[in-house]
Amino acid sequence: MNVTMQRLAAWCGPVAMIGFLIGWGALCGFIPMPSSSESALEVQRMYLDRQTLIQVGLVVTMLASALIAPLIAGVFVHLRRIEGQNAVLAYTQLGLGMLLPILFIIPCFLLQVAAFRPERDADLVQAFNDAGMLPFVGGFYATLLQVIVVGIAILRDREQQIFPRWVGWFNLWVALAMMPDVLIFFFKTGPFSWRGIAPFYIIVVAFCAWFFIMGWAVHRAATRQAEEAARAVAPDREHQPEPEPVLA
Amino acid sequence: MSTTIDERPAATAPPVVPDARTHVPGEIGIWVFILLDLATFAALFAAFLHDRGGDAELYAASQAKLSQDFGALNTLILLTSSLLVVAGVRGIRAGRLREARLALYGAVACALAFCVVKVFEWGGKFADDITPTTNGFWEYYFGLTGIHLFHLLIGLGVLTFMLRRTRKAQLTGADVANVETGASFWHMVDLIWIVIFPLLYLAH
Amino acid sequence: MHSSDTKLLTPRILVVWGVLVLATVVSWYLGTDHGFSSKDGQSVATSIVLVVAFVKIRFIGSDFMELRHAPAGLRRAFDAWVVVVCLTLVGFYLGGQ
Repeated sequence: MNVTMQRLAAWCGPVAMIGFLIGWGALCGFIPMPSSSESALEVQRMYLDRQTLIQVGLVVTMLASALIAPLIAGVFVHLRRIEGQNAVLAYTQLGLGMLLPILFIIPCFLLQVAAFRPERDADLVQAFNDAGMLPFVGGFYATLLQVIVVGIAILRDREQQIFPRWVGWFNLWVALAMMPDVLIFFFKTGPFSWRGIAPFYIIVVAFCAWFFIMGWAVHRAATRQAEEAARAVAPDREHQPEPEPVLA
Repeated sequence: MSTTIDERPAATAPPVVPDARTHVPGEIGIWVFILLDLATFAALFAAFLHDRGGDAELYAASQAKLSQDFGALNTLILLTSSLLVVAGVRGIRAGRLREARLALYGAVACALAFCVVKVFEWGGKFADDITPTTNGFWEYYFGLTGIHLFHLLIGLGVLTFMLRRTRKAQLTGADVANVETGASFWHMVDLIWIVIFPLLYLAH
Repeated sequence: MHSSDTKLLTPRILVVWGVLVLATVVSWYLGTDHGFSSKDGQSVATSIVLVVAFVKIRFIGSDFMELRHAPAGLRRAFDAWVVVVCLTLVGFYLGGQ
């Protein structure tokens, strides 16, 4: 049983989020997000002033994006245990989840274009900035279904309880919290613009929490699976699996 | 892999009343969901009041164009729907499924009435050329009431799910827990509106 | 729909519902400029209306959502939400006046 690899995969989730906070937040200085209502000249000024920091920050963000994949694989492994042979939900989760690195890396490329020659026409810099920022914040369309699928799979698992049931409910909340993201195309200022509380801050919290909680849940599931396997080979089979600890 | 699943089928269904004195309505997970969702709305409410403080006159002038009557009417409709859902849950628990069904149909009627009022309210605003992009107040107004309406539509699906349980011949403990879970979600939809109403319509 | 001898709706639930309806109507009255024309008066009226809303929510939680019979941890979590959010919103409101 490759518990070590699973635990490493579980840790990749939180590490990816910390990478995002360092790259996107500390280095690029994009938390809070630059305003979506700034003029082209102001956007150009931002790239001229902080060109290298933004470039390095985006590289860190892109590197961290790839670390999302191992956690998605870890979630997949245990969802497939729930579903068995015909693991439709697990494979849907896998496919949609593996899009996530791309959904962050491509927008970062577009921002790199803006940062590459910030001295060019300000309108062009702003256009590439928009082309990067809108999908980076608003590219949640695959993830929405992904977390719903994870939630449904966990809540349907009444027998094995591989993941705690509340983690299933948590996934459904993440889906609901992400919904206001559809609004960012329509507002340049206010709570539903790309820097607003609903599409940015609430989703940052929900999204980061997803990687920490799912990382914890995969780690826990892998450990329990190994314990069960160890018990299965042990001579006395008197010990029944312990009941689920009750939360709170 | 564990092969003990079949040996303990009874343990998998959550017991209806694990303890005579305390009982988690539904299951603990739905409360994780509810408290997280309430925290999300709380953040939006605080942001609204914060931004309102930054542009008090514009917000007051915009708010003056709202109809308090629509807001109050929808509050009363949702309070009544919650009462009917309470009756529905108690009916299902008591095995009086016909009465429970009537109560839940009443709750569905309330939910639809809420939507009708909302259509008139929003329609009136659009007719006056007021849209979500008009200014900050209207962005919050349509955003908050829109997100709430989205919850209410999910709630309509939940009520339908509960109604299907009233047609089941034999209800298990898990069924009853699921009904309680659905009811808790519905009450949350009511609860959120109880804050939205004074915040958007009444706060001067 | 329910005759008085059925217990689908207890007297307590009906009283709670009645109080919630009454509180809504009073808030509606207070919130539509009755008797509080000065700015301070409005601040007081709005603060009262906000606090009343959270008292209503406490009732919805304890009676409609049946938290009255829930384990203490869950009850406290809900009460904490009510208190924290109520104080925060009243604070933000008064801060913006």
